[in-house]
Amino acid sequence: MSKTEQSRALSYLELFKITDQKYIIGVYEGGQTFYKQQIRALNIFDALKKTGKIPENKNFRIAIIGGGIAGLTFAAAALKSKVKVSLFEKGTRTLHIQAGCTIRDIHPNIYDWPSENCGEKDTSLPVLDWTFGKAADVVESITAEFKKIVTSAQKISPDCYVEHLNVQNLEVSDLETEKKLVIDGQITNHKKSANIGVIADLVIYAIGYGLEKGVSDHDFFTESYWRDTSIKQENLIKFNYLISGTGDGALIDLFTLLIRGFSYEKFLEIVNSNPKSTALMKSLVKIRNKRLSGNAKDNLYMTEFYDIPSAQYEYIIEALEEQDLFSKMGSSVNVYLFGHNKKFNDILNYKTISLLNAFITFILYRSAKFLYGPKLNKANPEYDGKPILQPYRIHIREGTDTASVIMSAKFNDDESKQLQRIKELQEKSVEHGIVNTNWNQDIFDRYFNEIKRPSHSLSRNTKAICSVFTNALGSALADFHLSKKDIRISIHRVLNMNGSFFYQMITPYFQSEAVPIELHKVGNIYQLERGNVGYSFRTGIPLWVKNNDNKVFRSMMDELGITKSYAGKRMPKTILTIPILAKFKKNGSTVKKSYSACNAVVYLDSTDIDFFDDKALQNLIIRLIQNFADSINYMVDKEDIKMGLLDFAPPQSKRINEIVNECVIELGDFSNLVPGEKSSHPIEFEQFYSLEM
Amino acid sequence: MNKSSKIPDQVETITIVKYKHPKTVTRPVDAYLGLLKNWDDQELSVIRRYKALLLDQEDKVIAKLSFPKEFQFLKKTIKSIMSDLFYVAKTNGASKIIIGQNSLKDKIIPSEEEQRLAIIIKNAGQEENIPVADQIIFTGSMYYSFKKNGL
Repeated sequence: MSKTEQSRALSYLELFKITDQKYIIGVYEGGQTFYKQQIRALNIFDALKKTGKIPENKNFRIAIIGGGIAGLTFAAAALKSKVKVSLFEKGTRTLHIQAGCTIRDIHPNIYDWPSENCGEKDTSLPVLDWTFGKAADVVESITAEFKKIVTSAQKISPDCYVEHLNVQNLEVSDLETEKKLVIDGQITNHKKSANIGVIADLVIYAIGYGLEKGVSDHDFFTESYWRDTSIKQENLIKFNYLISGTGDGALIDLFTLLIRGFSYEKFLEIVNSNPKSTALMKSLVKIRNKRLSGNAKDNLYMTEFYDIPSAQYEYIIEALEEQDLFSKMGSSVNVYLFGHNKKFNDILNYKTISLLNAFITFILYRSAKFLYGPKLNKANPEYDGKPILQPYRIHIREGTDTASVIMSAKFNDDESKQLQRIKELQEKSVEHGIVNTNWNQDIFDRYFNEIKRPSHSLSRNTKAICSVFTNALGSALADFHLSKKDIRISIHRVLNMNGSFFYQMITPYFQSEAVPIELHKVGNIYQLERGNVGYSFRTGIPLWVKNNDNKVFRSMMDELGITKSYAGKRMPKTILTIPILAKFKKNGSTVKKSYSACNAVVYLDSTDIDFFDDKALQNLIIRLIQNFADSINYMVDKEDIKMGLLDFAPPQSKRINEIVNECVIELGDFSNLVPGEKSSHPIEFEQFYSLEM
Repeated sequence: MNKSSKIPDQVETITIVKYKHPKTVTRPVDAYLGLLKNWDDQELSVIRRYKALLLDQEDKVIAKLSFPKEFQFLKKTIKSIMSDLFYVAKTNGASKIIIGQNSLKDKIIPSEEEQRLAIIIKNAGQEENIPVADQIIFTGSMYYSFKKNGL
C-alpha cells in the first residue's frame, strides 16, 4: 500500500477517532441516512485495515456497540475478513428502530438528487446490500444476509461472532498492561439481569443518532419517525397540524401531510416529465455545486431558489394541482411548520438539509400550502400572535436526542474533549465521511485466506505479486459479486525445478460465497502438460471452454489430464485461462519480442455456463489482468519487488483444436490476446520473472 | 508441590504453577485474564476445565492450579474437590482463592444449578477459612463474575 493511501486513511479516521482503540460512527455526521451510515462503516473498516489498526491477527476482536445499520455493516465487513466481533445492542434485536416499519421507505440514493445516480435503487455494497423498499423489507433482507455471513464465518471460527442483546450500562475501560479494552455491561432477560465483561482490541461506537427528542421520555406529542402512523393519513386534513422542527424528518412529515400518497419517486416523475425540467436541473445542479463547495451562507438554498425564474418550476405546482395531489384541507384548518429561525427563508440550512427536501419545501411554500412560524409554544400554540384553535395535532420533529446517546456511552473527560474535536471536524466537513466507495478486497473473505497462507510456501516477492493481484482483483470482485453468479479465479506461475518446468498455483481460488474455499491447493505444483492452465503455459494462447456437451467436455478434460481432479467435486461448466506473456531472455541474448513465452496464467471458471459470454465482463477480465501486469511492471521498475530472470524455452505444443473437438473451444473477445494474430494485444510483463522457491 | 503421606490421592493430579512476580487482582477482569493465560487455545471451546488462582493477603496471585479435565464440579463431587483445593491452597500459604471454569459455548451467564453450586463453593470456603473471593465463568473473549453479580 502506498504511503499516500495510508495517510489518506489516517486522516479519514480523524473524523471518527476517539482514541487509537476507540472510534465512533454516527452522532455528529450530517447526511443521516441508512445507506450513508453503511458507507461510513465500510470506509472506517477499510481505513482501519489499511492503517494496520486492525492487524492480521486471528485473535483480534472488535467490540461494536450498537446493532443499528452502521454497527451491523461494520460487523459484516469484519466477519467477511475473519476479524472477530462482539456486538452489543440495547434492543431486543438488531436494527430494531426500523424493523417492522411499513410506513417509511428507505432509498439509498434519493438524497443525492439532482445527481444522475439518485434514481439508482440498489446500494451495490460489497456486504449487506439492499434495494429500495419499505423499511421493514429492507431490514429483513439485511438481517438475512447478515445471518448468512455469520454462519459462514462461524464455520471457520465458532467464536468469531457473539451477539449481546438487551444490554445496558455499558462501560469501556482500558487494560493498559494488555493493550486491550474491557467492556462491562448488564444484560436483562426476562426481568433477570447479569453483568458480563467482554475483552476486545478495538471498540466501535456505532451508537447512531438516537430517537427523536421526547420519544424515550414518552412525551405525549412525540412518536418516533419510524413508528408514527398518524402522519400517513389518506383522508382530508380535519385538524390543524403543527410540526415543530425543520430538519429532514420534519420536512418529510410536511410533504406527507400536504401531498397525497407522497413519495419522492412520484414527485421526481412530475419534475422530470416536463421539457422545462432541463433548465430547472441546470439551475439546481449549480446550487448543488455551491453546496458541495461548503463555503456558502447557511441560507444558500432559499437565496438561490428565489433566483430561479419561476417559469422553470411553476409547471410542478400546476401538475400537482392538475393531478389533484394536494391534500384537501378542511375549512379553516392549516398545516403549520415551526422552526428556530424568525424568517422562513433562513430555515433550510444547506449543511444539514438535503437539496431535494429543501426544493420540495420551497415548492410547497410557493404554493402557499403551509404556514411558517418561529418557535412552537406547545401548551398554547400561536401563529402570528393569535392562538391556534382546537382541534390540532402537534408533531415534534426537533431532531434526535444525540446528547442522551453520548451520555449513555459514558465517555471520560479526555474522550469527551476528543468528541468535541470530532464534532468540530464533522461540522466543517462537507463530505461527512461519505468518500471513496471503492473499497478494496479487504472486506471480501478471500483476502484473509490469501494473507494467512502458510508463510513458508511462497517467497516475499511472490507474496508481493499475490498482493498486487488481490488488489487488482478487489474492484473486479465487487462486479462479479454483483452478478450473483458463481466464479472462481486464481493465478499460476511457471517454475524451474532442476531444469524441468512446472506451473504452480500461487493464490487460492478467489470465489463467490457459494463455493467452499480450497486453500490447500495453494502451492500445488503441476506438470505443464496438465490442464487448461498447462495448455496456456505451453502455447501462450488463451483457452475458453464451455461444457455444452458433457461427453465432448469430458473427452477434453481427459486429454488435458484433469478428469480425476474433478471427480465427485464441483464441476465447472465453463473455464477460461488467460496467459500473461513475457519477453524472455535466452542465453544472455538481447531481448526480442519474438522470444516471448508464457510467464503466468490467470485461471477463471464458473458453474454458470454463460458466465464469460457477457462482453462487458470479458472486457472487465482483460482489463483486470492488464492492470495486474502493468502494476507488476511498475513495481519492478520502482524496485518495490525484485525478480530474477529465467531462461525458459516453452515446450512445443499442439494447438488445442488439434487435441479435441473444436466445438468446445471459443475464443470470443479473448482472441485479441493470441500473440502473432492480426491486431492482437497479448498481455505482457516487461521481462520474464523467475520466482524462486 | 510438596508431597506428604497425608496428601489425598486426587491432589496429586492437580498441577500447580507458582509465580515469582505475583500480580495483584483488583477487578474481576484481572482474575479472568489470570485464569485465561496459557489456557490451551485448542481446548478452550472443546474441553471444560477448572482452574483456581491462589491469592495472598494482598490479593496477589501466588499460584495457579489446574484441575485435570476429568474433574467436574458437580454436587456429588464438589465436597471432595473443594477439600483437595483447600488443602493445596493452605499448603501453599494462600489466603483466598478464585475459581474459574471455561464455558464451551457463548453462554456464560450461569444456570440456576450453577448458581446453587457457586453458593455451595462459597460456603465451603467460609467453613475452611479460605474465602472464595470470586468465581468466574468465561470464554476466550468474555467472562461472568459471580462477585460482580452479587455473590
